[in-house]
Amino acid sequence: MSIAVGTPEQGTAKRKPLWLDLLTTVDHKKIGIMYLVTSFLFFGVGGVAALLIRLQLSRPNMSVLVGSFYNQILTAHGTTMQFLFIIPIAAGFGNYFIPLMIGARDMALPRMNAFAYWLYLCGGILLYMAPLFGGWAEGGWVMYFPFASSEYQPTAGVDSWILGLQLVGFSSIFGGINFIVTMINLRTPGMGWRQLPMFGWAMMATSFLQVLATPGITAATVLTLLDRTTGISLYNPAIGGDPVLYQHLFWFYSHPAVYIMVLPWFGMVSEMLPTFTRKPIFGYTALAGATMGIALVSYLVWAHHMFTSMGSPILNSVFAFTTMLVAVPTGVKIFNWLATIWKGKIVFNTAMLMCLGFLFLFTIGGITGVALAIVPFTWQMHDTYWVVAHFHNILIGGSIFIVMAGVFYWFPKMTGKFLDERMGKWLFWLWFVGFMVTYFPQYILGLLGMPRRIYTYAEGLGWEVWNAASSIGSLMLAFGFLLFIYNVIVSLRGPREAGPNPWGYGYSLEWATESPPPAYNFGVKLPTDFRSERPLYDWQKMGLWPVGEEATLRASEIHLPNPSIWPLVASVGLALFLAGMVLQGPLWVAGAAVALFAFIMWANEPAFDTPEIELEVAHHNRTRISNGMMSAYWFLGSEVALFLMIFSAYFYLLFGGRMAFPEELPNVNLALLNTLFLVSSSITVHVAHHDLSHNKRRTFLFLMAVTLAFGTIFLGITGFEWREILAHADPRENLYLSAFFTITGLHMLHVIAGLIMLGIAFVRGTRGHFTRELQNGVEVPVAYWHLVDGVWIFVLLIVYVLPIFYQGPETVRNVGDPFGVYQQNSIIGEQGENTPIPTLPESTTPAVAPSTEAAPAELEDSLPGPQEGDEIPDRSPQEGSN
Amino acid sequence: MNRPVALRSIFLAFWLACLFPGAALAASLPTPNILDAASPNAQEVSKLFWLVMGFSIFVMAIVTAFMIAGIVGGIRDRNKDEEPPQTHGNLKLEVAWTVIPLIILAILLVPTLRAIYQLDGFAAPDNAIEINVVGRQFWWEMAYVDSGVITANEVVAPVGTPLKLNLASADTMHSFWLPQLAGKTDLIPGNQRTLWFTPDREGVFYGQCAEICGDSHANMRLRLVALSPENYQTWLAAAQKPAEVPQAELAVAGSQLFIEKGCVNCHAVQGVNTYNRTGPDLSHIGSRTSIAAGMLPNTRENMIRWLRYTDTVKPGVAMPNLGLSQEEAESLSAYLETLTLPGFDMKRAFSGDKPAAEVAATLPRTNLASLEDKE
Repeated sequence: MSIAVGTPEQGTAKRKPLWLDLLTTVDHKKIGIMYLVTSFLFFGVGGVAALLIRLQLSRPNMSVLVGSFYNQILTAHGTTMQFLFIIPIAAGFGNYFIPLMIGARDMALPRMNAFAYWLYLCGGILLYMAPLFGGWAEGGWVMYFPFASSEYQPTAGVDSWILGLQLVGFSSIFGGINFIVTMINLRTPGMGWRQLPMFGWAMMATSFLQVLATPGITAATVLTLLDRTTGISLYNPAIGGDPVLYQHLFWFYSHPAVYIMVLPWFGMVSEMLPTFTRKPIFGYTALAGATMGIALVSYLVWAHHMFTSMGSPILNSVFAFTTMLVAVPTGVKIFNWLATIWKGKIVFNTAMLMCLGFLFLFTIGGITGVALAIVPFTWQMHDTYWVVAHFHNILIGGSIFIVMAGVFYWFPKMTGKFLDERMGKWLFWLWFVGFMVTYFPQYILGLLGMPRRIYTYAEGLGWEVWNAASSIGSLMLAFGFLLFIYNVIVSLRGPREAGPNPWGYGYSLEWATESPPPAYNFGVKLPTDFRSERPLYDWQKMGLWPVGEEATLRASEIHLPNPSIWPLVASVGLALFLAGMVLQGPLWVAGAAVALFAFIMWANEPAFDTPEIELEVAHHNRTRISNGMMSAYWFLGSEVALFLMIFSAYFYLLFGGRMAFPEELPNVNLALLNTLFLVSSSITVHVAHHDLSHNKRRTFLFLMAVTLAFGTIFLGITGFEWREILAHADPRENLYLSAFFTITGLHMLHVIAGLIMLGIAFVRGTRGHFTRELQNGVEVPVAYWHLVDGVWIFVLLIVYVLPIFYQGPETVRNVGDPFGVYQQNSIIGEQGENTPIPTLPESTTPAVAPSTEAAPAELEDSLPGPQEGDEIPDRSPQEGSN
Repeated sequence: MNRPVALRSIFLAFWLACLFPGAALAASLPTPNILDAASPNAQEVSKLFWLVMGFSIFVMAIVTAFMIAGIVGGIRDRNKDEEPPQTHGNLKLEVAWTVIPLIILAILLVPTLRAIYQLDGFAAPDNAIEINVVGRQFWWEMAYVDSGVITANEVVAPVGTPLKLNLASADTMHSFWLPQLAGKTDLIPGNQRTLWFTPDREGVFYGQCAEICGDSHANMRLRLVALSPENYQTWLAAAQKPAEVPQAELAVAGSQLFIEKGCVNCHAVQGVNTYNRTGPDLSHIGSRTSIAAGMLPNTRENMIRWLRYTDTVKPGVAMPNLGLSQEEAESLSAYLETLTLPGFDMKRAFSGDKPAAEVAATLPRTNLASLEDKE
């Protein structure tokens, strides 16, 4: 659909009803707004949960939310605010403004962009379907094992939580890839890396984290899911697994995720401060460097969430050190922002007030975070209200203040209308004061020994005043948000009065087009002479802006991607598939079929009207790698990270001396045969691709068929092997076998995904779809297939070959029963069950004798616990009362 | 008003704002305040806290001053027409505010590392009293390794002798935390962790589970009762002997019920049965300050309520509601009341200047009226 330029009306001549337009749109601006609206809706829902929590805690011994119900609301609040609000809303702003800021027409992969949005929405809906599946998961957003195991939470709540998060996680990965590729490939000619707006750098760093860290939470939660549904477990202490492993995997994502939640807002502050002070950002290079530095360091600090659970002074010391390091780039940022304000001509509107509030509150949040790097202090403050106050300080005082600032700042750009400033200032003061009233008492509560995640507390501990204050503050925050919603509704009805540059001193490229921008973003050819991150300022000085008539583009020079319904259908299909897995019913088959169908249709549907246009658009890329291939490479990076995570888990258990090998190891010869097939298939698929590039279609198709056959044979052999092993061993009883099935199973899933992709490419090939120039549809599956094969080599070495040479220590350490407590528990049948207690015959001797199974000898030596046989004085029944 | 005066008053306001919470803290009621340390271990952390707070206030003051000065300048210049100076950066300044935080952090790192190695569980002194602590949904079992004494929810310890706690979990994760004595340590299935500290004054110190573990995570409370060394020895001797046989009619009937109703299947009582440790050891329940893992003060009224409305008092509790009648609950309570430490009165055990009544007053109260509504 090429669009005429000149007047926006022409472009929207083929007007669709709004709902159809939104369901099929690939326009980054509409998707951006959909992200913003959806995440604000979730913010409202999460906010209600927060108010309920504050109500319950406002006084001691309240009974609004009791026990399990409180835990569910707690999980809903945390999950919503983090995964459904603060992370996706950054994608909303990024979607709308990154292409505008770099002078592009759309994101690099418009349909993938829509797909990411729909995945997010479907994931959110799946999460909120939890009450249908037996209630929300308990355990807070961290969902630690074993509390998340089916033993303690038998309903499907945790399953739906995990599967919903997978959708949101994929959304995050795809969104991140899209931002990276967009910024690498679609910057307008002349814009170098040193002229990328700070928001661009922030989104770049955020996206790196999303792409390369999200596999951590995938690994952590999928292993929990496996434990819950199949009993195959790397965490189960009864077979040597380790619940602490979950924490490592989880925090390997979730610490970087903390930066995913703040870096975008750092970028936005760096955009707003220059506009409202009429000064350039102070120390552009240092700020960009600090952003990347924070992203890098954030990978090295995950275990500071585990100071109380690791029990290792060496690790504690190392992570205390790396955690303190984070403060350095963060400090650089704060001082650079302050220097930007210094001597500026400050405009005190709502957006700027929010930025100033951010600077003050975020600094407090940062400093209280440094205090948490002092390990012994964290031993005291871990899981207390100090921590709650600290991260709300970062996320509200930091991120959400800037969310609001960003809405006020860019609302005129998005709608052509201004938000009401008077209400805006009320919002600011309500929030600024409300924030301090809500969270400063929580720091004190932490010091006074109040743990987090408790649904009630007793009177007389000195916590009442502070909790009451905190609850009153939360009302102020809620009232401010309602005022904001009202403001938006009223202002949307107002007149359209914003010009291209409504604040007067905005100098990045989004201020170079109308407000709101037309579908094609820019109707003129932008100058290519970039001197700094403020092109409009420089161009005005150089006399290049505004551009003359001759720069206006003709309609035939502008190409926009076609809308598509398939991203939506595919997401819905995947959501149904996962919902079917939660319900363990046939729904998953239907869901899988819908998703597969949608993917096929998607692959068949051309992105642009004609292949020529597609080539022409691709021609403007800044690198020679196509958008499709570049995103494939990033996706492969994400997959590699996932496998690295699982392999690390395996090594953690193996070298931690927890893994006992079964008497019979899996058959290496069979695995070598499998390797032969897989390596051959890699060669055939490579040659097939090569043939396509040289227009040998027939051999291309033949070799693709051979590859598919080899892949299928591989699946068959693995299936056979699984059956053989399952025939005489139970993976639930042995840690090594659990790991074996987890790793080979994960690899098998990738083989299946690769085969589906290759299959679609093959069918399209038979229809003559690809040309020498346009062959992403083959290139991407081929690259993926090579990854699958490459990973297999490591699977072979680690899972099949390594155990032949390394059998670990003689005795397995710590089989999960330090004082013999499990055995004592078995006295009344299954642990955790409320089995009715049988009445005793008239005898003082207990009916059930204690289990005499002793703990491993080694353990008994090191832990002289009181067990049967130990001398326990004066406990014989003879001296009893009867 | 000239600028320095404005700035000075803003500073003053800022300092007051910082002082207020501190003053309020100091004046507040008896509370498990980590800064009101009852052991050298907690004292060490409290020192670290003030050190890091000192630097924090210093940094915060600089940032706030810098910001306020910028804002004041902005207000002053708002009507000037010309463009502000277009400064893009200043290398010297930027190096300075990279290096100075590094130095501050290096200063903080040294005492941190020292404290880690000093306070970690492995550093427990050899003469420590060793106690195996097992966390369960939703109570604590304490087993004294040398003497074989088993108790629940209340650690009894002498002042001046180090305690070494071996921590393990029988079900899900828990976290052992006595704020005034030491930092928390998690109890993780499949793992054993260690914690040590030395109580240095007498008293009852409040703590609770700090890792979400289920419906009644909030109700998994614990206490440390620190006694003088002499009193501790008396307690230790008493704790190894069964309570005296009940004489009163009501209590005797209760002792029968204890067996008939199956309480004995989960709870051990010295002299009655030994091994059942699925529920708390009740040998000297009558001498404990609280029941239901620290939720309720140990009175007959509370005990009856607890026995009759178990799962209302403590959601998700493993102890089943046996459907006892009021009479049955009364006689059971009467029996349990007789299970006291022979020859040792816990309530008179505090020889220091903190009278027993005052200690009892620090016990948290649970609003029983709200429970009654549900009945």
